[in-house]
Amino acid sequence: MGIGEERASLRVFKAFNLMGEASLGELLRTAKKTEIAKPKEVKKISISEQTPAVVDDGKKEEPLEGKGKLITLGDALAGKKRKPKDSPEPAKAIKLESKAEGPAPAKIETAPKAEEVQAAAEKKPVNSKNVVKGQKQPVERVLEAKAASADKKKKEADIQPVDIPSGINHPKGKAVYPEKRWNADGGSVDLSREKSKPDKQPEKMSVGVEVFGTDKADAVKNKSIQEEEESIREKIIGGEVQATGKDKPEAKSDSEPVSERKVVENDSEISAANKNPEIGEEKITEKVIPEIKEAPKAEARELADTGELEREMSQALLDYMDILDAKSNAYKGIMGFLGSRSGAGLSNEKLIENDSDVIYYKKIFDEKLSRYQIALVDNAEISGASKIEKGNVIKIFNVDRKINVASARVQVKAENLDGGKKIVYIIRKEYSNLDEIFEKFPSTARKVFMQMLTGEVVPEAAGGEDKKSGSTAAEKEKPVATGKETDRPEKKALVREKENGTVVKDLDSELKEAMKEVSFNSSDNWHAIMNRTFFKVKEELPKNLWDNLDSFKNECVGKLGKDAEPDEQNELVKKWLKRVVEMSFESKII
Amino acid sequence: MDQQAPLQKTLIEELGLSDLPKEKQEQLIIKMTEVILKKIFIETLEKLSDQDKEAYTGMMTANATPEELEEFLRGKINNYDQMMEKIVADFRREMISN
Repeated sequence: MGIGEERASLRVFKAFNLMGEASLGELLRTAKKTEIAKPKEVKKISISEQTPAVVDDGKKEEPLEGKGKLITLGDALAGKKRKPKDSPEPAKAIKLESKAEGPAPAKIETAPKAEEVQAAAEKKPVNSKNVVKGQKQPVERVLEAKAASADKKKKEADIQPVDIPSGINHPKGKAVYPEKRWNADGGSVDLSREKSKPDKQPEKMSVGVEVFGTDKADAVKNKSIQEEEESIREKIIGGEVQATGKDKPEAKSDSEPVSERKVVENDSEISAANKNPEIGEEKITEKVIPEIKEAPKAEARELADTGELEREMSQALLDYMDILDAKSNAYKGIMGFLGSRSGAGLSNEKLIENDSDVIYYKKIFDEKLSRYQIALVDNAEISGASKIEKGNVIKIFNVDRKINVASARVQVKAENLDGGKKIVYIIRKEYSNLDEIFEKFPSTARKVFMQMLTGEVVPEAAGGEDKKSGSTAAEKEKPVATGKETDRPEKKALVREKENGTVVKDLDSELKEAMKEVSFNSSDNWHAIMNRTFFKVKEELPKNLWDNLDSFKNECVGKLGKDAEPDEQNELVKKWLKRVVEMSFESKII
Repeated sequence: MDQQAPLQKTLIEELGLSDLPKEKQEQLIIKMTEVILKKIFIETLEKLSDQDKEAYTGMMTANATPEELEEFLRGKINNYDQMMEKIVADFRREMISN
């Protein structure tokens, strides 16, 4: 078999390959029926027949204005010509989106064009004008590689040379419709398609960009070989067909078929392409929807910073109370001036209620309060709190809110009093326990308060012992928390029960009593007080606290010498007692 | 002890805080007591003349005992006890109201 025959067989084989659907058996059956195309017949397909871009006189024809402009297969078959140079249409290669879901057409092994085959067979470049002698052109390299691959396949399949199937690659080109298609990704593919079997064309192939048949040579008259070759060169890099430049779609993923990749950018392109009469029947109907990135997964909920919200709420409350107090005083003055002339229905409360400033600050406070409350409940939910616990959170919040309002009102009042700074300084102290508070309480108020707290009518202090000890009647009340009957003083209302159920001995009243004794300025008393209290708490305190107290006691005793001034001694003993109380609280004794 | 005791609800109960942990109850009571104390102090000051205010705050900063302070206030303010009761009662009402 001569070289020409081999090439012809190769071409046939590739043409069948191109058809994609043809099975090997079908190929063999067809081959038996057909004649082997003779090389000389192949050679008859001249360059001018297929790509009549070079005129006979060797002049290079004007490059086609719409280089890369699309001519559909239908147009090509209908003999439509490409737009002339003076066409108002801008030269623009329109990339079209295919509906294809199959493999990328660029990967389809295609039969070389007749001229390429011929040129390769004759070992000369397609366009000798731009070819350096002895240097292989990319097209040649591609063709050779393809030929080698095809030869190998042919040998493997033990395929005998076959004739060209009728209607395919006919030497005279009558029934041959080799098509050159520019894939969406810019790769060029030559397709030979039997006219009578249009269904054989891969339906889902990228929409063709350039189509021209051998028998419709005049459709591409205006295109030179050089131009075509240049375009091929552009598309071929390193011997492989690749997408280039603008035409190259960005692969979103390796697995994504080329034909599915983004080609059409927007609606205007689609409509322009559809309006283009040259596109013909191959309409663009699909707009590539940008890939929707997966929404980030919902992050785990985090605990809100309730501290910050609480501060904001407190500040808003102070602002609100401030304006409320100022307005209240102002309206009070006005109402005092107007007296009975103020008119019916006008009162301080109503005026304040409808004051825009008050409404404004109240709204801010309400908003902050609401956010704080939501954050508290959310935090409880996040922490996996039970319904009861969440209910408790809301209960505490409600009471806390009322306390905060009352506290803010007091603070604002203090600031606005004469000598406000000093008063604020005095009341600024925040108490950590009731002892400290009740130390400051007037006895009457303490009595009333304890009555309110415990729910019991507190009789006037009776009995010499109470008076002697300085304890008030309120100190005799039973605990609020436990509700147990007890003769313990007020502190016991808050005393924590120990695990074994026994209530810890009231240290607080003992200390108060001791503090009164300190005023006798007797060193004997100091030691007695210290020892009594020390051993009282010794049994209750954890060892580390007890050690701490012990060292402090030694320090105090060292200073409480006979030479110590009474005031100094008093101070030391008070410090000592205070330390004992603090430690007792710290260790949850009281 | 007074027989009326069982009939009266404690503030804790009225606020619906009986079910709360004791520690929380204690914290809330401390806060309430603190507010009452401050309120008493402020309202007492409001009843005093400027001169008496100075004297009172001076006693406060000098760590005068509650008894000493009370004695001073009783001498300066009429119906002092009733005033104290009213302050506490108002506070209680304020806490219980919505």
